[in-house]
Formats: sequence, C-alpha cells, structure tokens
Amino acid sequence: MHDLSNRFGTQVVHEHLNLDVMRGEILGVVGGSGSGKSVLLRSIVGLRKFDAGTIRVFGSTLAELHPDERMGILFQRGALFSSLNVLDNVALPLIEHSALARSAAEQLARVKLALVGLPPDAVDKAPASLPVA
Amino acid sequence: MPDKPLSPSQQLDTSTTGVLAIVGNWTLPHYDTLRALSARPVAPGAITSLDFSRLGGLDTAGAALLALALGPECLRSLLHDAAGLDRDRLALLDAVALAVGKVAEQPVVRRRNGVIELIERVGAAVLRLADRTLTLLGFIGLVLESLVRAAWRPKSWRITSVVAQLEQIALDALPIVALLTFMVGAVIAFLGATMLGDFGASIYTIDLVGFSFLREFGILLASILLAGRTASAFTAQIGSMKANEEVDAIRALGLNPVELLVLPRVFAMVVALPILTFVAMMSGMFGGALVCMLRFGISPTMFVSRLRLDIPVQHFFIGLSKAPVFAFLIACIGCLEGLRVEGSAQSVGEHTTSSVVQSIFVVILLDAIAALFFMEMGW
Repeated sequence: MHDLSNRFGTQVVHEHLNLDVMRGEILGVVGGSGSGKSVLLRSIVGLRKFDAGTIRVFGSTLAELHPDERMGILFQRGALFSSLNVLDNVALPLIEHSALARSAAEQLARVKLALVGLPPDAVDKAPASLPVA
Repeated sequence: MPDKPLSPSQQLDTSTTGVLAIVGNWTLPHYDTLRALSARPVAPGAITSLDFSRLGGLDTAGAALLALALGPECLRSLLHDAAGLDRDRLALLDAVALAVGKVAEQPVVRRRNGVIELIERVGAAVLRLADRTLTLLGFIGLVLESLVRAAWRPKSWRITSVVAQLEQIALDALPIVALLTFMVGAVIAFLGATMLGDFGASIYTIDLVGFSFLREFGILLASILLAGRTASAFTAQIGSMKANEEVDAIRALGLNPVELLVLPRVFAMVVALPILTFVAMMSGMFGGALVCMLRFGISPTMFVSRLRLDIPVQHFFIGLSKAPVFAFLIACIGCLEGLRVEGSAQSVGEHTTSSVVQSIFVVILLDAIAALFFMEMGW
C-alpha cells in the first residue's frame, strides 16, 4: 500500500498511508472507534474505492485481481446468507466459481463442514439457529 | 470495608477552616440534594485539604457533582492528600474529575433562529430530491446494463430465484388484488349510476366502469398495491442483507449483487404486473357488473354486449402497455432503497417507507403523464 488516502467529504480518514505486509506475516490493526480500521480493510479487499494511492496484493493491483481469487474474508458478524441453510452457504461459491454440479458441490460442502467440526444435523439449519461460539 | 451507618443528610462540611469534609451518601438516589449542594460552588482557594472519612456510599453521579462543586482541577490536585480515601475511590474520583473537565470543554450548540432552520430544511430537502432522482436514473442504467449482459449468458440466469419471487409477488397477491379491485369496481359503478341516473343515462355506467378500469384503474390499482406490498418487501429483504453485510459477502465472493439480487426481482416484477393488471381489470369490471345487475337490474348479457359495442379493445392495450414500465420502476426503486440501507434496523425501516412512497409517487406521476399523452395522441 502506497500513499493511500480515504476521505468522506471533508473528513479525512487516511492520508499518505504506506503499509507493507510480507508473506507469512500476521498483522493486527488496532484503533479507537472511528479511526478507520474498517475503511482500511475494505479498501484493501476492494469493497471501497479509495480516493488516492495504490494498493497491490501479491504484486497485482486490485483491478487486475479478481477479489475472490487470492483473498478470503471473514466478516465481523459472520455475514452468512440468512436465506440459505448452512450447506447451501458453503456450496454457493463452489457452484458459482467452478463447474461442479450441485450434488458434487453439496458432497464437498459436507466434507468441509465435517472438517470444521459441525455435527451432521447442523447442515440443514439456517445460519441464525447456529449457536454463536 | 466496614459498613458506614446511613447518614440522614448529605453535606459539605466546612466547619474546620481549610478542610472540606464530604459527608453522607454521594450516590444517585440523592441526586437532587447533592445537586443543590454543588450548585453553590466552594471557593477553591479556601480549601487546602479534603476529608472523606465520613463519606458513606460513592458512585459516578456523586463524584461528578463533587467535581462540579469544587472544579475538576482543584479536586484532582487535592485527592492524593485527602483523608479517609481508599485507592478505589481515589481512582474513581480522579477519573470522573478528568471526564467532567473534558465535558466542560465541549462547545455548546446554539439553537438557531427557527425561520432560518426551516428554510435550511427546505433547501436540504430539494437537494436531496435532486440527488435521489440522479441516483435512481443511474441505478436504472446499471440494471439495464446488467440485464443486457446477463441475457447473453444463460448460465447466469437465476431461474429458481425468479420463480420464487414470482410466487411471492404474483401468486400470493392475486387474491388481494382481485378483492380490492372488485370492491373499487362496485363503488365506481354505484357512483356513476347515481350521477348518470339524474340524466336517465344509468346504462352508461357500463361504459364508465369499462373505460375507467381498462384504461386507468386496473393498472393504477394493481401498481399501487404492488408498490406497497412488493417494493417494501424488496427493500426489507435486500436492506436486511445489507445491514448484515451479506451484500458485501456477495461482492467478496466475486459475485455481482445486482445480478444475484436485483435482476431476478426486476424480471419477476415485469412478468407479474401485467398478469395482475389483467386480473385487476377483470375483477373491477366484474364488481361493476354485479352492482349494475343487483341494483339497477342490468343483466350480465346486456353488460357484456354494451361493453363490446362501446369500448374498443385499444383501451385494454393502452392500460396494459403501462404495466411493464411501472413494474420495472417499482422493482428498481425497491431494490435501490434496499441497497442504500445502512447498518441499523432503523435504517431498514426508513428506507422501506421511502421506497413505498417513491414507488407510488412515480407510478401516479407517470400515469398522469401517460394519460395526457394518450389523450393528445387520440388513442
């Protein structure tokens, strides 16, 4: 990230911000309420168009990169699709981005859910009914 | 800490020169008494030390009032040498005094002249209206572009979503549309027949009902009903997703929210509204026919033959032609307001209301313009 700048009208959130994150590093961003943490992360991921500067991820700018290709994002409140059940939530990107048939995607999704330790009867539940850890 | 007996009174005791003793329970239940005490500020120079040994309970409210009475800086400077003050209470008083000092620094917002504020609000509302119209036009463009792009890629068609929306929009709404237009048709027939009866022309009630329902009321009533029912549903559905960051999640997955959420709804609406308009027209005329038959003894056969003679089919087509346009606009407004929702439940509510109002307004406005246009064209 080089010379990043984010502005909301007259309120400047970031200005001339430089940041390098090396492969293998784990970086935590800490700041008070309203200091611009979410804005920073959304700019990196491509959910917000920043006002100035450049951001390169793995050497490519965001425009060259398809967001889902190299980045995984976990949202603050989970952001699971509330109109789909747990199985469909996991199967959705598999179906959309690869040529998997629905049955294959669902099978793979079940494997993934078992990997994270969810019991088999949780797959048909709505996300809202999963107990929050 | 030993339980201090409850003092019947709260006071600031200045009997010993230079020493201020804080007596009693300086807690929230005694706020009014304490407020009165701290309203008479103690001269800061006269106090050299504080005595808390007769203090009963202490909480933030009491501490704040004490800070106000003494002045925050004075209180903080005297705290460390105060008598009868344990560490926890010292920390509380210090922190509260600091906060009181910060509050005092904040500038007071002055209430402005009412008339100027009113003019300001009018101006702001006009600017908001202009901004909203521009955003809507932009969104319509975006939807059209996505529609054209998706049309070339059958793989991206969300058939399941379209069918599900169709069921919600059209099938579930059919009974209510039929019922409401039936009743409006009956009312129109009543009104018309009563008025026309004075001229001995009550037979022309049939023309009135047919003409008005085919050209105007069918489409208008169906659109207004759908605007209230479906635009709000779209806004609430998409708005809740937006508030839950699901729309961001869709974008983060590399999918297009417009293609996934908006296009199926728009398409379903454009299919549903003409169907519902047709139902509305028929149901309205049926209501009118029923009134004519029961009240004025005009038989259904007479009704139908009169209709066929006097009302050419072009009125039907004119009424129906407005349906796809209205459907497209109602769906776009509903979806746009949903996407504009911010993170709170209140925002969802506000935008839902706004989308209903906007949809109804746009429908009626365009209907009026269309009516003028068709009249001028002689159609």
